[in-house]
Amino acid sequence: MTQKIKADKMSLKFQNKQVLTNISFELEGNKIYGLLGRNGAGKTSLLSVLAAFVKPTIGSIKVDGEHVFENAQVMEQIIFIRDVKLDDETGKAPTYIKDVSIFRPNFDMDYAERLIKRFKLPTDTEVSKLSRGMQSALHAIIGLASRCPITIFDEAYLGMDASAREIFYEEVLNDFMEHPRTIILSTHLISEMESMFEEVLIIDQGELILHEEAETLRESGVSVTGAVEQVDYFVQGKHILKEQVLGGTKLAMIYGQLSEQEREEAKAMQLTLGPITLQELFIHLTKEDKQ
Amino acid sequence: MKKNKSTVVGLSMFHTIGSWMLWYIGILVVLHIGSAVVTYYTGDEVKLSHSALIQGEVGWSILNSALTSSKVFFLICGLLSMGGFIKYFVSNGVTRRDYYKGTVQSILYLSLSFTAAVAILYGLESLIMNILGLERNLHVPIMFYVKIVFDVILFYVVGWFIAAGFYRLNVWLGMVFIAITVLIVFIQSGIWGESVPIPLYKLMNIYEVSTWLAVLISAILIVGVIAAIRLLTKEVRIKD
Repeated sequence: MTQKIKADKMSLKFQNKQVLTNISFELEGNKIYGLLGRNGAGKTSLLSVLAAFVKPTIGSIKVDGEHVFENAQVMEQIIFIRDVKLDDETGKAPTYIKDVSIFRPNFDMDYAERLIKRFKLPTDTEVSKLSRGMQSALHAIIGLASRCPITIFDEAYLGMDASAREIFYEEVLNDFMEHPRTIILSTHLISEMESMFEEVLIIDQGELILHEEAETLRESGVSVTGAVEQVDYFVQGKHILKEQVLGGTKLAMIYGQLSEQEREEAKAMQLTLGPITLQELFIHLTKEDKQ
Repeated sequence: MKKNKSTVVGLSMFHTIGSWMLWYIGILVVLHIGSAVVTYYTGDEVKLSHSALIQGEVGWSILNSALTSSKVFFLICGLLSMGGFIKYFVSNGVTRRDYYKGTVQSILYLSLSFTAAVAILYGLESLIMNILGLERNLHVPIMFYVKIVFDVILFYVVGWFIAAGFYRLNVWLGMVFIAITVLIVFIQSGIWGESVPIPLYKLMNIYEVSTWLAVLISAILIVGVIAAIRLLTKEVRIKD
């Protein structure tokens, strides 16, 4: 079932500090969303409001028209996975998973067991004694196997090593295909995840500065590759996001679309054009001096 | 049948804290036997506690040891029932309301099962004494067990109340919650005829009242504290 999420002029303040300001968005559901923001931008705070960990100070956040906060039916449908340490858990991973599964009506224990094997999660060690990477894997297993209509992973993969992250990305995509639902992945490590996102939300200093389809964003700029002099000549006067030189070859990423004439010109100059990466766009949009 | 979320919380908390309680009872029994053995061989009575309501050889029953030490044990359980538990349950999609209702349920289960365990242990103690041919003059009114139930609930909820105060507000206001708790505990002890050996308590002149009035006052105190906890936790932000 599609779960439509709607935030309406939502702000959050605590301890006299404005954490989120006037955030509005609508997520149709059944997509993988990327929530991007620098450290301290407000990603976790925004997701905490969505997961009913905290009530918004002003405005509202609703799922299918119903307020999330203290709504038993809605809260059961949302899982918020964070990379929290489980230093007090004396039980073993299978027991811990079994204990949390009773709260999730769609929990698939067989899938959880398959994931335990795939992540090579030790089943005979106390949860508190698992390495950070293995605790992250445990969180990921619970997040995936709960099959909640709204599944949120808030940088839950930071503790994992590269191969575990690879497994995680693969499992998110595969399980999403088989059981479509709303998956929100928040991260500041964009490069390795950006191909997963269908829509992207960028938050900066507590404000939502962008909500767009990932494809549209990638097309909002152009990468130009070719001989150094040719590239320099071509990008003159354009909004350059990034430049990189390797031997006699240069790559420049520019923000904004090219006209048909400019494309022809690039072709004539033997320059290769391509899309820009979300990472570059993100860095550009959230630069400190950019107000 | 799908269980109500608050019942799931209640059973889950009963399971966790009940297992702590079994450890506590085990240690209590060992200490009690130890004190009885020391008393038997040396003649020096090792009093683990002193209690109201029981008339007779008061230092010599598991009932006294249980009544006195259980207050501290359940106070600690209450203190531990806030931060970690509310975070765990809300993280698992449970509302604060269901966490609250579930915890109240578990306190009820704990108080009844603890009292039952103590009554059984007392029965066993009496049986062993009869076998050993030791006689004692001990009268335990039914109200003693009622008092255990009330004490367990009250000390548990005041612990929870302090923890909720610290969780919801700052440290300084948390101190106020401790002060309120001290007052509540003085009243509870006073009305049931227990003396608290500190000067501040003596200044307050709390008198022992009739048993039924004590039951009523205890119930009012418990309901008041539980209601305050609901106000404190109703919209509380879950901390990282």
